[in-house]
Amino acid sequence: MNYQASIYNIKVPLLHGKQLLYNSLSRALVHLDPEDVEKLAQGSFESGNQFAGDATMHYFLNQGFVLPEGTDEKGVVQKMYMDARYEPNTVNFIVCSTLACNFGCDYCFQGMDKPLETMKKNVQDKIVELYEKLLASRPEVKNINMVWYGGEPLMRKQVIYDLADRLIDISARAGVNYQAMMVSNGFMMTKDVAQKLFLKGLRTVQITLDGSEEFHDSRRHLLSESKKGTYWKIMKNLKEWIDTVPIGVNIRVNIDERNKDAIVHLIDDLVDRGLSGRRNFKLYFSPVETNTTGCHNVADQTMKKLEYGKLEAFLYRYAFERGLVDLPYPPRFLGICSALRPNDYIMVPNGDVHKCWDTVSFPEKRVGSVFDTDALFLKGDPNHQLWETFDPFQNEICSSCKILPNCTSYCAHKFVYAHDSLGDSVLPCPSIKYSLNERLVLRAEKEGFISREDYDAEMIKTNPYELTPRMHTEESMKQVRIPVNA
Amino acid sequence: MHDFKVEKMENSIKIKAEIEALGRHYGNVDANLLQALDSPLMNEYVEIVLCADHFELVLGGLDKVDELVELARSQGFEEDVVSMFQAFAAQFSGKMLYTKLMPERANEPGSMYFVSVEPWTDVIAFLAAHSFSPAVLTQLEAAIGKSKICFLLGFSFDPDRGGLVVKAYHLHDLLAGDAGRQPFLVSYRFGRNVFDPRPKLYYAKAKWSDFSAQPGWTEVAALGDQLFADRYEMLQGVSESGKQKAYVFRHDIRESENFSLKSYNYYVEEGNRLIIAGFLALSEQAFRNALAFSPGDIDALNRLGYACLMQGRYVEGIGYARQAKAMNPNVTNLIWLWSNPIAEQDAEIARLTAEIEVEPHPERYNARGIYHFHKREYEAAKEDLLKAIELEPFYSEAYNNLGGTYIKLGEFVEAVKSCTIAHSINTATNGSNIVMAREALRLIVDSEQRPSEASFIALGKYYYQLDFFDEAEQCFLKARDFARVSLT
Repeated sequence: MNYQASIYNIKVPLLHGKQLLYNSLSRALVHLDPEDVEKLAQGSFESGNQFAGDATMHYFLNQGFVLPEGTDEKGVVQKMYMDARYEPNTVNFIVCSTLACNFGCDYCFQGMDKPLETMKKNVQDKIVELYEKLLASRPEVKNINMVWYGGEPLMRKQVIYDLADRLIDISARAGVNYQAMMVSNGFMMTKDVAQKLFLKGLRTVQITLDGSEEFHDSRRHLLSESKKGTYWKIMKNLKEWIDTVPIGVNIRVNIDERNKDAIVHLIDDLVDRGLSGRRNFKLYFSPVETNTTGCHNVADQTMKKLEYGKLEAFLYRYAFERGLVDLPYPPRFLGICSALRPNDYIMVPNGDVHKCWDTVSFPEKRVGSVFDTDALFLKGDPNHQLWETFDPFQNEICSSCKILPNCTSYCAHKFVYAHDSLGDSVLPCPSIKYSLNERLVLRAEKEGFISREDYDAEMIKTNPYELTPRMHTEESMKQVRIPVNA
Repeated sequence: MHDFKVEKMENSIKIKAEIEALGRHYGNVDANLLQALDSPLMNEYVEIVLCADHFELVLGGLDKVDELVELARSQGFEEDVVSMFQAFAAQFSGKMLYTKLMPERANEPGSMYFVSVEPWTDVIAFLAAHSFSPAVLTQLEAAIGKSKICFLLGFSFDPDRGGLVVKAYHLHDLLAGDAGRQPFLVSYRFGRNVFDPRPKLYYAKAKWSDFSAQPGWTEVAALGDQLFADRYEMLQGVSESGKQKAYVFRHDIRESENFSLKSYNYYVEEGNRLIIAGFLALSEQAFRNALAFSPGDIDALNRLGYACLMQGRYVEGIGYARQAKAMNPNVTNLIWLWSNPIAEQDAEIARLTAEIEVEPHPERYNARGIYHFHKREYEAAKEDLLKAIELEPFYSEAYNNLGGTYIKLGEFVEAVKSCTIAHSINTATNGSNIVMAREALRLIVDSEQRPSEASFIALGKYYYQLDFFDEAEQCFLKARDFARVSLT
């Protein structure tokens, strides 16, 4: 039998002929000496010659760097992707207790004129009914990941308390594990609220901080005319309960041209406030994008993808060294989200059901209603079908990319509603495509496989063009589907 | 304060006085027996055996192998007897053991005994491994018939039977034969190569009046009545030749509120062992014997229920268990002893109450809640555990204990919720409560959504396991209804 090198091998050149070798399908990472680099460079192998008694070649084979000739690797990715997308045991159940928000962030994809509608009792009842029907019709469901989303969900705390009590009871009776996370701005999450939410199943909260106090307050201020800053209050709240309430905190840092230089100050400030080195307090970074018509006003403030990738790589190293992030590692199937998972639903206060977090403020993009769960489960709505039929393997550019197993088109919204994005945000590739090498080197270095002397920072820089034969462009994205009701 | 040391001392002094009185009656106190009176085993277990012309002394103790071997050797027991005793003790540990001391003039050797309660198969294998001939063991198997459990095993020495002699006992079936007074125990004797059983029968709950009419017993029975009256459990042993012995269970250190030789039901022990050995029908018979032996025995009734349940006679079984529970609300299922009582509960509750009055600390409420739980005061336990949580909102142990309490209150959803919080606070929290609560809910939902004979039996068994005997009975009745429907 003959063998070939995997099409998902990604090489990071080190000094002295050494190399880091990563495989995006098997997710193996190995540090190679020059002679091993040379062995692999041959590309194809005959079992009789290269493999006999050669431990390195057997290692390559075991770790997926080398495969039997003719292996359909893309087929393997597709199979694994489908298994993960249609994994039946877990459901993400997302409820927007309100779409109203007390913050007035200019880059919010939900726009500035958010509806103030409170979720009425009859909608709550229907959500509970939907939940019961979902569990009854799918006994294979064993885990519910509840997500409280908004707007700012804590503007309608009582809705959360009431619904949580009912959903937890149903879950307990059904033998389903229930745990909740929340996307909140953190302003109203006092110790009392955190305690109460914990008892109602909340285990993780995502809170956004966009830089040190000055930068954060300049964009994440109160919606009221005072436009008062919010950083101090968020910090005060966190300090009140972070040591006592076992809720994990993920700090999301949105980055654009305006605050890109302020993120290190945020990291320093968090360290100064004693928030580093904790298991339940971590940061992650995200580029500001203009994915919906709600935030086109900040299109000229967003960062270019390549520049953002480099900044993010730097920030991960900086934050890791200060105990605020875990070592980054390329994920698998970033593109599988609630929009694509068959049993995940997002419910908004008027009873509309959505599949994508980015569409909740756009009623015309709903996929159904809690008032007609039969129709919802049939998935017959054309909007629903947009998500159901989305297939990253049909996109030629995505499916030929070396990081396909990591990404799988990253964000279906950018394809399904391609025309809603503006500027560089049209491009769907995730930041990992622009910072993969730096992440791998950071991991190898911090885990002790290589040292700073083993690489040249310029030499290891990720070149996205090496990862794919063809990059997405605004032009190529115009070719993707147009929404049925656009 | 209760001074056990003093009590033991007083008891052993009394026993010595009784033995002196017996010595005076029978002529003299034998030197062998006098020597034994200094043994520390006198504080453990003492049995006095009265015969028409002499008396014997039995000393014993739970697992007191070394002490009994030392005593036997000091009395000049044959080494073969002692070594067999040691070998058996090594193979079947944790037993109640005895050494029977004989006066020199009785012309009989001393013996060493075990409460065996082991399957005959194991005992016979032991004997085979110690050079007992296949022919003897075959005859033993024929003699014991249907009996599956060896209740007692003794070793003594008789040169006429080739040296080492074994005396093996099993419980007699009280329900067999006529309705008159039935023996409860039967024994056989045999040597390594000689099977000479000379069966001996033993009658429980004997009275001195049972002996007084026997030849040579008038004075002995009067003395026994004078010394011991009816204060102690007594057996009447009758040999094939008609020779009788009175076995007075004079002292047992285990005597307590929970254990009394006077009310000890040997058949319950046998039934338990039969269940372990997998003989369910025989265990049922043993528990029925236990009830014949002692008609009001709650333990026997409860276990009879269990034996019936295990044989698939659910309605009948839960009926017996409920009868037992009606007599004693603290009766539990026999699947696990989840609610093992803790000693001194009331004293601990009083202590914690006093401490809470001074400083209402969450750990004290949690501890008191646990004591209430074990006393089956579940509402009080819940109140304490909620108070502990109120004072310490992230007290994982209290949440988990509250979950266990909710289970005993039948509030399974609340139990799951409480245990989930406990696990979220501390992932190392013991998982048994949440597993139990979830399983209960699963079975309830199953019986609601897919009602069937099997689903109701499964739920009934689970309720039984949780000591909800009434709910269990309801389930078993529904299961029976389903079975009837399916038959028609």
